[in-house]
Amino acid sequence: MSRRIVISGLGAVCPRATGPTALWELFSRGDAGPPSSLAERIPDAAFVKQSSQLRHMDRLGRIALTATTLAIEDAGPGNPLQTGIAFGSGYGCLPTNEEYLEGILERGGRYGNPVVFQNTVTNAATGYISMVHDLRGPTATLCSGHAAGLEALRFGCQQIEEGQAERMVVVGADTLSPMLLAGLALPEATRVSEAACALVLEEHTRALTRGAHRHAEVLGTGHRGGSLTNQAHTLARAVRDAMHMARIEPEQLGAVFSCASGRGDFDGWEQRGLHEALGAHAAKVPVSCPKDVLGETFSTAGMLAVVLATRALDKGCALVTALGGEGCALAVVLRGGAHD
Amino acid sequence: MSPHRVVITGLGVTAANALSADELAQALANRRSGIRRAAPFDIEGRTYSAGVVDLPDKAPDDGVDRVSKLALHAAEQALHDSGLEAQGNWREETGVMLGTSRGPALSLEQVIRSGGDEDARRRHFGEVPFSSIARNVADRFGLGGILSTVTMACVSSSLAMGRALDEIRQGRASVMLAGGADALTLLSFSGFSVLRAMTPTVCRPFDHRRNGMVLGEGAGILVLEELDHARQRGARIHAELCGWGTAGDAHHPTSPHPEGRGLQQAMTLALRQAGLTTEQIDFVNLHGTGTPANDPAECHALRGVFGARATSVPVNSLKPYFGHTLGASGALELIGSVLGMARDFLPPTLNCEELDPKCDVDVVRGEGRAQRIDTLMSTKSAFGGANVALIARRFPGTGRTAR
Repeated sequence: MSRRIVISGLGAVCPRATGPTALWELFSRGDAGPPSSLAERIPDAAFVKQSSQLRHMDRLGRIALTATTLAIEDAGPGNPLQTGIAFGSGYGCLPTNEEYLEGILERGGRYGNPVVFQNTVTNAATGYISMVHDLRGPTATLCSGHAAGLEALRFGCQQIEEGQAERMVVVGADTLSPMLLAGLALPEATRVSEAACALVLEEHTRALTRGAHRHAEVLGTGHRGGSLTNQAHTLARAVRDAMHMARIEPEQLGAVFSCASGRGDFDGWEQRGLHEALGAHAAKVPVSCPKDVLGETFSTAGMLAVVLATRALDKGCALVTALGGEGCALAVVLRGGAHD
Repeated sequence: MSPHRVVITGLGVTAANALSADELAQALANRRSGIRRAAPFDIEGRTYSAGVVDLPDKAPDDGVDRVSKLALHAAEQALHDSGLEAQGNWREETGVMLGTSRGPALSLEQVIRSGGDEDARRRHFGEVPFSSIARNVADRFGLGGILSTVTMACVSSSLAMGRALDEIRQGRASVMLAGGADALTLLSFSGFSVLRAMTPTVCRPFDHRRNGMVLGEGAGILVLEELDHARQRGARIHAELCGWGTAGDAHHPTSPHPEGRGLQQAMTLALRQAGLTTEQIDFVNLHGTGTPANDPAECHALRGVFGARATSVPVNSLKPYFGHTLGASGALELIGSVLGMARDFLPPTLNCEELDPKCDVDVVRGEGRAQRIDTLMSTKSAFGGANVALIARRFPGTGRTAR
């Protein structure tokens, strides 16, 4: 990277954990426990107190706002004009579109609910969050499937590298709906969960100057696409690009936070992709699979893995991957601790 | 290392008034609109005009959503225009970055309508995720580079082009297909109708009688290419894409900031990345939706950035030609502007007859204007307070091969 970029704020909300510390404790215990249902939702009590201004937000916006608020509180204040937001969501406002369409198909087009309609663009969540936290820098909403969260992180890094922003809030979130769950046709006993995760990224020197806690440094990112029949190779190329940008060799990786989900096809791609990219080191490096504990959280999975990696890392490097079966793969290399 | 220069080497158009870049150039020169009185969706007694695309019969129908069909048509044209198809091994490293607002909403509608029919539901659901559009384009043409989908309402394709520009500027890609697509949907017709954002008559950007927008559908896709890569293969260059910026209003879910706060910031960032001043911008293609709130906010933003020059730099809106194509509008309107630059012609803003005093800028009207343009800016704004500005400039020998 042309500039050193650090993570100075962390925020996460899952059905069984609110905040990075609770998330880490849940993950460290390694016990998924019996889910209340196979599709877990975040309890409403976890949401940040909503101002009257925000009463029209949909669920996607609310969970994303909760995670973002935690991350910004962790990072401390910044200059609004120089702070942007990148939001990634695999399915975005699909549940809201479903709600709106069901209403007008039943009652007729002229009886659409305008409050619901304003949330039928996925960037409504981005806009609401920017209103609450006065984020007036670069803004982007990305929807590249399960990889969208890490893609938002990559975009955030690029905006800082380009000098377009001093800091970027990057967010990943996905919510559930019956239609989505039915459409995905996941194998039985697959635990799926809504979740939101946010990070604050900023240039290293700036974070150092203001005395911010540096949870980790982003050393490199990789982003590739390819045929749906060749996802392992696509992931391998994304990993190689991230390692190349990070200027590290496979032997320098201390851990991999994998997107493996317990589904045979996905996990096969992941395993073959890691072996193709890391060679012999793939068999030696410890691989963690956060979805074993947290369930399938779609675009948020990669971001949650980043939060876990920042907690797990001391001074070593970790690789985080995201692959969702839509042809798109992302990889991020992180280094732990404060390297001044 | 200096950033790489990025040029436009392919243009692909799917619009109500044109099914190719050449047709669009002719339509703009002849002031030909594709808007027609139509009622593609039943809003119970309310009939709106729309920019409906008549896709050619040869358009393949293999189960993809209409929005993907619009995108595939434009992508095929852009690739053909670029001349890449006949040259070497380029597919594995070519990326796709597309934007959409409504995405495959027609497939979502089919899923809901399918009720308990599991087969129908499963058949349509595969198209429902927004990412299906870029995936379908990458699959159809066998492209293996960066693959991404942007969904930012009306700035979607502008953001996609800006991101693709950055990928090439920073050396992470050599060739990218970038742009966006949106189809006319019941969701859009109903939603904008209940928000009272659609006109019952005609779209009149910047006119004091303006009372709303006309929806359209379409796709605009460009081939963006690193300059040396284009030179080495002797590609024809339409223009250079040299800067972009995005910024949020942080103001309101659906209304623009009255002073175009985010748009000012986006324009400033684009100028900074391009290394240009406002004095060097010869023309601005504005969003110009024809809604009461949008047009004055944009003009205010222009004044905020361009100062005294805001009243003399020519501006236009291309919405009356093919409608507000939502996520496709940024790409389609940049293509229209680049085509005008190559022909030393500024297309007029149709239906703008009596300029609103709140829009006291130099709106190109009437027959259009013969004028050399060396550098242009295209700006778009969206729900959620999103704003994007892009800057393109004439490349020496524009329209000819780059050797």
